[in-house]
Amino acid sequence: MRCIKTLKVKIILVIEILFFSLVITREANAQFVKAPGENIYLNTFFVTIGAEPEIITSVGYLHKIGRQSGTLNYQLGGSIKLAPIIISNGSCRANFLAIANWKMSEQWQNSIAASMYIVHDHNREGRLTGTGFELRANPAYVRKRWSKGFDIRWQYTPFTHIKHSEEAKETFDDRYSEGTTGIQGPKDGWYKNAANRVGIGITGTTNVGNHSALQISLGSLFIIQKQGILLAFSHAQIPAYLELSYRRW
Amino acid sequence: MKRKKYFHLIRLLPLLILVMNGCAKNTETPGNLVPPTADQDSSLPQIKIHVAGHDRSIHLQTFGNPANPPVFVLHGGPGADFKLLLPLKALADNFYVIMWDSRGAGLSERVSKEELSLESFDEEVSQVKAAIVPDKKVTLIGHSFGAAILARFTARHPEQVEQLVLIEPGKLDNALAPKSDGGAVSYLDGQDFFWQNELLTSSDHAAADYKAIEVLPKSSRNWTCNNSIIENYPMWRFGAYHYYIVLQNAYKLPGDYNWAKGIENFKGHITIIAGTCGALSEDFQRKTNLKTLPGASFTSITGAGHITLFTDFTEQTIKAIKNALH
Repeated sequence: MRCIKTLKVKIILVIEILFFSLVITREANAQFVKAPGENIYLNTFFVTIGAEPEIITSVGYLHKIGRQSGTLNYQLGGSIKLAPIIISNGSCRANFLAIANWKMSEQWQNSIAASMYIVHDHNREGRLTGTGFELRANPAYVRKRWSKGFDIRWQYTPFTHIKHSEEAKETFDDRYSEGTTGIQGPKDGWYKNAANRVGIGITGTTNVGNHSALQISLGSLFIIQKQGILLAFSHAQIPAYLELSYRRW
Repeated sequence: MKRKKYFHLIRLLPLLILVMNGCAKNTETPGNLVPPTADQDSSLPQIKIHVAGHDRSIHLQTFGNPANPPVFVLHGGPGADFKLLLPLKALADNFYVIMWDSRGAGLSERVSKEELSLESFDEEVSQVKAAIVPDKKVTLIGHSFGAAILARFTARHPEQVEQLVLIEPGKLDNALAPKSDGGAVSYLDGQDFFWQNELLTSSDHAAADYKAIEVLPKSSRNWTCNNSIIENYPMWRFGAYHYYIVLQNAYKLPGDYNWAKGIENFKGHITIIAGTCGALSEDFQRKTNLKTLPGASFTSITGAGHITLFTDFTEQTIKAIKNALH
């Protein structure tokens, strides 16, 4: 009986750790390689502009949580990501952010970030609202005034709700010979495994004064589908992203 | 106590995800996002053809009396379907009209990369002819990329073709100077198409085809006189993968490739029809294809563009085709 109880406690602890690992992330759009020279992760405000390849911008805030330690520190926060050119389409994403900053050695540090998000868009296809998460790791070589490293990310939107537009419904019209009826139209509702993409890039940060830093990241953002990686406009894959972030703490 | 409640909530999360996962739809299930293809829906008008080593179901519809002279109508794109060309069924009063979607495009069965070589399109037209009108010469009407395919077929099989009507074909002889940017989507127009990757990415064909609903009308700007988007863009289902592979293959063609090479052996009548607006309009045809096909008749439809030939200028286009057909 005691063994089962101990096991139960352990399982709960594992779930808690997993939950925090997922939830504790770096915000997903503003980069967050730790600013050079920082040993303590402070409350931080950030702004990002970028192209993924659509123009995006995001603003957010990260709050330090728990006791600061030499090897592992946490921040929680939130951000809003927008596609400003198509803002009239309601193209935005709200992120709940959590970050674990891990000092692996004197010169190597890793920022492991997770965001859970709700994202929206409406266009000719219909109204789309999704929920998902993004994991992002920035292992970086850190010096006093600068850092350079890798930007590795995985974004997964497991569920997207689609309410189809009239244009989408019309694609089902006039398909059959006279007198034959077929499928009536696209199905509104929740779709699973809706979006999934991977990013690999490099990133660099430099301090600007004592309380702020600039960060640039660039790399490739792509999907892997049944036919392979299709780096083609036809599949909305112009496989590059570029981000510039400003942080102030 | 609060901590215990917190743990209970965490434990409910996987259950909630499992339930949602069980209830949610699959983007690739036929009929969920886009209309099913011929192989997925037996009630679609269709035939099966053997091309590039595979039996494939193609969405094909016939109009008119089979005893009348046959006319094949082939869409453009690459990747589009014959919904745009449906007004041409008006030709059925004197002809037996046959329209189909190419393999991998429209509502025809999706195919592999290996099945979309240039040669395979030649085989496809031959197979459709063998299945529908094996013993008759056919009149061919092609739009855009479909016109290039049919010009190539005519050059290689002149004995099987009665007449050839090319509606705003792309450049048949690559060696000629003018370039065409027809069908291109600007970076700004593509913003929403890219943003959607936050919500929907393609794992196979259906989601990629669905996303064309957003972007395809925006490709129509340079088909018009005033750089506007054509809102009523008729389409059942775009073949995104077909488009990707066929364009890749086209880019690999030599700089002096001529789709109509050998067409001088064709003794039938050739007509080119074009509007006066957009990238493949009259001006472009005079600088390119009318030089490649010097014996061709030419008809211009004032005010029409690549798409509006079949939407806003239907009567004029049908009249021009009827005049061309003897």
